[in-house]
Amino acid sequence: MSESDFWLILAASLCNITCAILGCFLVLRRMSMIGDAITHAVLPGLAIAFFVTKTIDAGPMFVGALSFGVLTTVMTQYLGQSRYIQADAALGVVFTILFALGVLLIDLVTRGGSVHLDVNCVLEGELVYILFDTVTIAGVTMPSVIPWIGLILALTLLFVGVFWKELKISSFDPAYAQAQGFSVNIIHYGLMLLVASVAVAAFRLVGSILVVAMLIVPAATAQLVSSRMLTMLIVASTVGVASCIGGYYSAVALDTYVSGMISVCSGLLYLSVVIFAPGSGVLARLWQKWAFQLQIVEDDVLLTCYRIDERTGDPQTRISDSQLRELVNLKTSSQQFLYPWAIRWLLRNDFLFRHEDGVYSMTDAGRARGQNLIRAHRLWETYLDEEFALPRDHVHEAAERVEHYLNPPLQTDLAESIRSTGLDPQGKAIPPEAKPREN
Amino acid sequence: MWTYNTILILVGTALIGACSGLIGTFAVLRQRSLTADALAHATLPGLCLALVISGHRSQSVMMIGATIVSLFAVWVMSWLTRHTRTKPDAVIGIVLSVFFGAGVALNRMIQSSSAVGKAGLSSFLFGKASGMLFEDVVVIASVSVVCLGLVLLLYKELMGLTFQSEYLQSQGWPVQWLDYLMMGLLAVTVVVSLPIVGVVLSSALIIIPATTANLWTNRFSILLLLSSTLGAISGISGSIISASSETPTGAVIILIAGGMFLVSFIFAPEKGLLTSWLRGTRQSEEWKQRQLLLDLWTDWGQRDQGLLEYDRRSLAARAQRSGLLTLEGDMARLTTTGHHLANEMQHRVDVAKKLLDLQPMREIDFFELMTNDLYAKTLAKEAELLFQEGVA
Repeated sequence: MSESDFWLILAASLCNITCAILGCFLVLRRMSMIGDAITHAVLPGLAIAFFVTKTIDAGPMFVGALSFGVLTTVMTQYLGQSRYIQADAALGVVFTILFALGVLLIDLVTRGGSVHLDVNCVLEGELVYILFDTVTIAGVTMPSVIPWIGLILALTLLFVGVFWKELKISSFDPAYAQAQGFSVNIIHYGLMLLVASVAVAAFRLVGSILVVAMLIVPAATAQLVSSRMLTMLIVASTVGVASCIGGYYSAVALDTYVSGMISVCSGLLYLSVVIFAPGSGVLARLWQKWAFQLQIVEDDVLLTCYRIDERTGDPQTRISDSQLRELVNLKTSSQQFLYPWAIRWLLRNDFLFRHEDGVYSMTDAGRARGQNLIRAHRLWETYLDEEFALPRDHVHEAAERVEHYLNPPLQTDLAESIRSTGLDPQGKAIPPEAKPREN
Repeated sequence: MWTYNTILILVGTALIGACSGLIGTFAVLRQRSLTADALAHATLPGLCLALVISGHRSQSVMMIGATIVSLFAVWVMSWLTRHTRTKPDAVIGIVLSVFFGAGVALNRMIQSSSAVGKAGLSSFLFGKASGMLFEDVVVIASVSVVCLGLVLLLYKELMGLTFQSEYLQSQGWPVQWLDYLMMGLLAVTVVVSLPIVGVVLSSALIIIPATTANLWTNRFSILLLLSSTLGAISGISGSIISASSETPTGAVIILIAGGMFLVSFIFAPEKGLLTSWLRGTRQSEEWKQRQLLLDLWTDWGQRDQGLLEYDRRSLAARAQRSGLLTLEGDMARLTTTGHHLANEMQHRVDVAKKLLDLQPMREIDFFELMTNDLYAKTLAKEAELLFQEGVA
């Protein structure tokens, strides 16, 4: 890693950490698009500052951008309060008008000039330009944006540290915060000011639209995997730094803009969390769904075996694979697909026994489990029959579905609430609860 | 001035403005303004991909690419909203910035690698009206005709979708398909406006005219008409001004639309800032006078005549001008109108107090009660029903 690589990645990462931390609060307060609006709307402020001072010094630009950032927040809130304008349209109107104004102003003030501020820079940013503008602090020569962004990051951390409790409460429960008399407005405008400040810094690095990627994507990613505020902030910052590093090197490899690749990288990180996150990810939920389907097929197999045993009166009735498959009554194609897996699982866990000639019979453990399932099924049938005026032939279908969900405590409750003793509506016996044998 | 080119540009921008205004009305009223913004930003990677795949700058191929990718973005947004914990606003931000970022990166790669795209797609970012060709106008015109035709054909259905989509869904209408249709029309409209308004601001042309028109009317048909007209006016005037001053077309068009919005927001009858401010002032003056009548009525022991205290003079003088009372030196006397009004106010307050006795937790706005006849009437009716129940 060369020195310039280091400074560029450091600048982008510092910026992204600041954005990610602020973004967490925006995302939690469902104000993501206000972040988007502010980053768009600081543009005329930058242009006016440039017009007045004729330089691209950070100081005046900062003031210009901050005033327009605050203006956007106030105007959006004001317009949004109107009964005749939809809240999202209010946002859309304000920031597009200000952005258009900014584009026009930049086009006018930079005409014929040779400054690094042109309309395309608005969209793409130019990270490498920061290398031409350096300062020396404590003997180290670094791009002059680094101390700026460092300052904003420090301010952000200070703000978050001081108002930690208030931020948390007002993000998760605004009504409660208001009722407790927190200075909701200070927090709101403090947050907006910080977003506007970081938007100015990020504007030079990645352009005004891609700041949104830094603000929202890491925070949304963190929200998917964390349930605590502090964890969320840390995860978001990590995702931010990772997408900066990934974005920088992929941009170098593909010879393209770093800004675009940073947002693509953070998008990919978000996507991979959506797919692979444990518990709530797409894959995990798909797995849960299939596992549950599998369990239903297993239950159905044991129920079928139990009924056969009951009919023949022989607890060791043997049944061939094809017969069993036919009797189990697999309803969907996914159940048919899962049937062999269910059999395999039952055999491995000693619920079924496979004899040498390939026929099956239930083991004691299997019988116990089947007995509990049939108990659940018949209890439910009886309950439905007694409590609701359903035709007798309607209760079986319902019980077929519910039997998989009735755990022992529920079964006990049901058994206590029904009047019939020991017989279901079809006159079959409701077996007692079977205690699975301790192994 | 009226050269062939100028006429082409005027016709093209007018149609684009009108079409955006028309389709935008549905988007804005369904609260899809920011979805439209994300959709517009997502066209950029579509343009780039089409350029890479086809290998030459063919307008039609790029349009198709942009439409497909932007509709894909819409699908991604709805999928993420339904299947993840991410909230809709964050989903819009994610899709907008990631797709746009991909577009920016792709654009740069095209610029540096291939001969066809040396100029890249920079003209698409902020738009340029001057390059419009006859074929472009034909495309724009056909899209406008399709949009207008579908809106006229499905007028009732689309109106239902806009205002009562949940009700219609419960009635078994194909709301989902109407929604897809609407998004398709939105995407096509945005895409044809790209060369003129630009990727970044094309959503503004969707949002602003519709929001402006909504301030002027409550009738849906007039709203559609007005929104299209405003869009067309901004398109035409914006392209003329930008062509003569060589400024970015998209920005000028949007600023004109924005100017019209600002004027409407302040001056629109009924919904404008000025009207509501005036209405508020009038209402509060009315409230003060009515409160005065009520106070006098009580102070004077329910008689029409009595002593007027000094600090009530100026308000009483205003009430005299409204014909509610007459001043005679230190004394004042209620006119017949004043007498009736005072009685009416007394009655309203009595009703409200009784209602509060029955329902102590109830909120009653006394300002509205004394100035808003409809509110008072509703409250009186409710009180009557409650008393009957209480008696029974």
